[in-house]
Amino acid sequence: MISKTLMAASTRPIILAILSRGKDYGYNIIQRVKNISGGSIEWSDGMLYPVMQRMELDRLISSEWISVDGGRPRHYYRITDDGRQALEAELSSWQKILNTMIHFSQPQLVKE
Amino acid sequence: MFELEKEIKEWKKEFNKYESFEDGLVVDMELHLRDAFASLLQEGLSAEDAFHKAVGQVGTADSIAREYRKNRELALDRRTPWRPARFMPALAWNYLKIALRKIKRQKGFSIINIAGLAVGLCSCIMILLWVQDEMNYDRFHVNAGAIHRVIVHATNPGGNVESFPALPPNLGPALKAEFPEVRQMARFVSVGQQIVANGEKIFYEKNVSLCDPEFLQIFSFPLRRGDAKSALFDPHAIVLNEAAAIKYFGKEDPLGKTLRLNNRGDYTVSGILAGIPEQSSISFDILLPFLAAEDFGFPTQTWDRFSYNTFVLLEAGVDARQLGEKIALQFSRVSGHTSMTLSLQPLPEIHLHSSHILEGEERGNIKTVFLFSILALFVLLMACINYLNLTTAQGSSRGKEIALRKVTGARWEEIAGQFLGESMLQTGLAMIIALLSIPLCLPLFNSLSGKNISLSQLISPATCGLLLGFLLITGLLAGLYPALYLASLKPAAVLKGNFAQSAGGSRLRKLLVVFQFSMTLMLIIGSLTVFRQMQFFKTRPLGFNKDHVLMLPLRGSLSGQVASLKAEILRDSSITSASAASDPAMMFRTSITIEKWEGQKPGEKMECDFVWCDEDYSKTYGIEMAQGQFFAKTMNGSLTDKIVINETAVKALGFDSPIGKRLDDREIIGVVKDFPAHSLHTAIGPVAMVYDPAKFRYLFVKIKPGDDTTALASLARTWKRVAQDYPFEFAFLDQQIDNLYHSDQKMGGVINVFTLLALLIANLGLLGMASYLIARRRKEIGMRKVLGASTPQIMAMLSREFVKWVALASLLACPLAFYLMNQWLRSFAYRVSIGIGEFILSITLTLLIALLTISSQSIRAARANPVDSLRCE
Repeated sequence: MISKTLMAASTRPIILAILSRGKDYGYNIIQRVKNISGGSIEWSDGMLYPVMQRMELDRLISSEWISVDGGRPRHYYRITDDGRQALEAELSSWQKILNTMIHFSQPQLVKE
Repeated sequence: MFELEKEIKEWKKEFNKYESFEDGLVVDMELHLRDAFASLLQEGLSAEDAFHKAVGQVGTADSIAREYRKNRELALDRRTPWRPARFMPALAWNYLKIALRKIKRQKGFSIINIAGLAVGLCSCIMILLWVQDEMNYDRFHVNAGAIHRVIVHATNPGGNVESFPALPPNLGPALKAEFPEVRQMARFVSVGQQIVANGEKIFYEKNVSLCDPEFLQIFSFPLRRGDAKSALFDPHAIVLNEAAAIKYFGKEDPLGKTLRLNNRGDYTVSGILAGIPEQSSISFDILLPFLAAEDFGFPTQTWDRFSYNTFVLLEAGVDARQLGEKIALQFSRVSGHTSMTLSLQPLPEIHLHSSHILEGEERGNIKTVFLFSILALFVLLMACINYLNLTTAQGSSRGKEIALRKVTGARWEEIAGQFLGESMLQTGLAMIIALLSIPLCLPLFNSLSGKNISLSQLISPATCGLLLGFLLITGLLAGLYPALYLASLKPAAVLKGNFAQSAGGSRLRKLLVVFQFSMTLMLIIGSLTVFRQMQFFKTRPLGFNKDHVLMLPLRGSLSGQVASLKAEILRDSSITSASAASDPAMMFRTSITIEKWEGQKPGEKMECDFVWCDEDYSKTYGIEMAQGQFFAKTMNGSLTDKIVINETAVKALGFDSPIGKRLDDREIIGVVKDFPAHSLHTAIGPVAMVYDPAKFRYLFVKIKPGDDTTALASLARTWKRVAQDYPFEFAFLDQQIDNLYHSDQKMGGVINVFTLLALLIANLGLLGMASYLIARRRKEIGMRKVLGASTPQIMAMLSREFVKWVALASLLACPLAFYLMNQWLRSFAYRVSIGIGEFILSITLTLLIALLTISSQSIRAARANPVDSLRCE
């Protein structure tokens, strides 16, 4: 089970990462997270949208209504340049955190 | 059957409740729900189950709305953009503009409101200054908090407790010696009027006092010359106030010079006092050392004569109440006066809390302070009621403005704030007018209250704070209800045009007008009653004739020359009689206890007002004999062994034939008809009169009516010839007697002024209400005229309403006024009974003034051409 704080902290980087592969809409984003994480990351669906609004206000993503193949119109989100920079920064931060964590978790060599 | 669209519509309603779901956001939710539903359906769930599961996945509207709200909150005040700002400078400017425009447009209402509030505030400020003045008595003494006056409480033979501030001379030194809590002690006594001379300059000094040397150290009377510690040590020292010093010595340095008192003793000036502050409950012009007391007939060593005000300065932290009890115990043990007890009265309480203490000084009274404060507040309250009534009544004229503000997003707090601001603005204008008019009103107020209040008192920070408080409270009182009322108007109703005054609002207005008129009526009834009681004092048969009687003080050797003085004076034909005595009628200062008489019950004693007089007292005063005869030179035996009493005394003693009976060791030779020994506040009690030339203090001279000036001139000449060492000073007895009711008259005057103000404000309000109500009925009046109503009929119709109000006010006011005036009249032993006349007169007066006030409006309405009022439809 992933803690609430970690979940909150990781939401934005994950959304940015997903959108870095191309535009997408809310329901699909959630489905992709669920599938990739094997269900271990589970967002309460409605809460995604305020986060998206915040990110849009912060100019990390942009959105538009697109109707694909005459189906119902969908609210698509797209990553901005600012968003890409933010994603890189996030990735390196997470990398550093993970490295540090891994480093201290490995068995230590004891010098004679 | 499950209907998806219907269910989704229901589900969306929950989201639409939240204003954080801005345009389009709910669509996101709906699409998400539909996607989730579709995929769950594919998984094989039934439509109903799929829907409920999808709803669960999306989450609750409340928690999502909260997250959206967080995105939108502004940094400064956590406000969301779709809410208006709490303060908008542009709007404030608009409020001010509208308020000023309204004041300008509705001149009549504005004048009524602002003038009324100004009058109310002005009277409140005056009374505030007066109350401050009354409360500040004796506070100028550095030690004010630690100085106490000793009070004796004596139970007289009748069982009543009498309190007075005069104590035997032995008490003071005993207190100082035996109680370490007493740091210093000073005895003080006024020896009344004395003749003071510097060579040719001879004057009567009315206010000469004796005191211990420590007096000037305990109190902070400002000494301009001389030393407070030593000024009164020498038995022949004298301390003058500045005015007296200039009177006797002009520009010379008075210190070290001598003054002669009563043509006998010489006293050397050892100190000059700057004037005694007006807020002093102890007053004197000249101070003499206690050591000189015996020269003025005052004892210096006894427990049995009660003469001296005794002041003590206590050590810090001493509980005056406990010390008072200890002192009382010690006093009854040492002095042997077991029916007496003592207490300590703090100096700052002397002025306002001495109404139960018998003393000659005219003091203030805390009850009067309360009464005047309440009256002033009532006047202000009436002005506030006018504001409230006129503002709510005009609601219709502001209705559209309010509705428009609300429609464009004003919250009711803002509307209420706007109208409260307007009332504050008008109150502020009224306050400015009130403050500007104070310099004009102060002289009038001073003459009415007998005070000398100066403008500078207004400038203290405490007063300014109080004024600001007045302003805020008045603004709130006047404006709060109208603000809440106007802010609660429903914009839809107002804009649709069917705006009607609520019945509740107009009922409240009527009630308040009725309240105003009840107050006014009560004040009018009160004024009339006070006036009648004062007239009663002036006209009631007293049992003697106070007119055309002169009082001349007898001092020094003059009291021994009474016979020759009288003989010389009576040579003038304009003088009908002359008599010497210790006190004038109605101003007796002495009482004695009769301990022995025939037929006395065991232990019975009789307290008796007492005067020493000569054989012409009854003739000069026109006092009639009931039995026997008055003192006469032709009587056998010594006149000093005889006594004359009044009828009340005869009754109290239980004598059937009093003549020849003995009272103590004197023989009763006559009984006079009752006459008052004191003012008519108290009932006439037993009076005893005794002949003793040694005690005479006044010569009373009866002048033929109409001959005042010639008689006075000849009297002055005679006086110069016979008593050249003594200044010729006189007073008219009737004026002195009128002075006994001075404080009652002062109170009557103040009540009259408040009555006028209340009447003025109530009628201003009525004028406003009448013009408003009549304006609303213009069309009705027009219709009635068209259908044949005459001008008088319409006026009668319009006046009927107001007559009802006054009638209702009378019903409320009369019983209350009756009760209150009865309470007040009870303080007089001789009083008028409250007649139905005052009530009828007051009601008629109020009704007439009210009808006169509204007639200005109703005549115009009734005579208006109906074409003008009906045409505009």
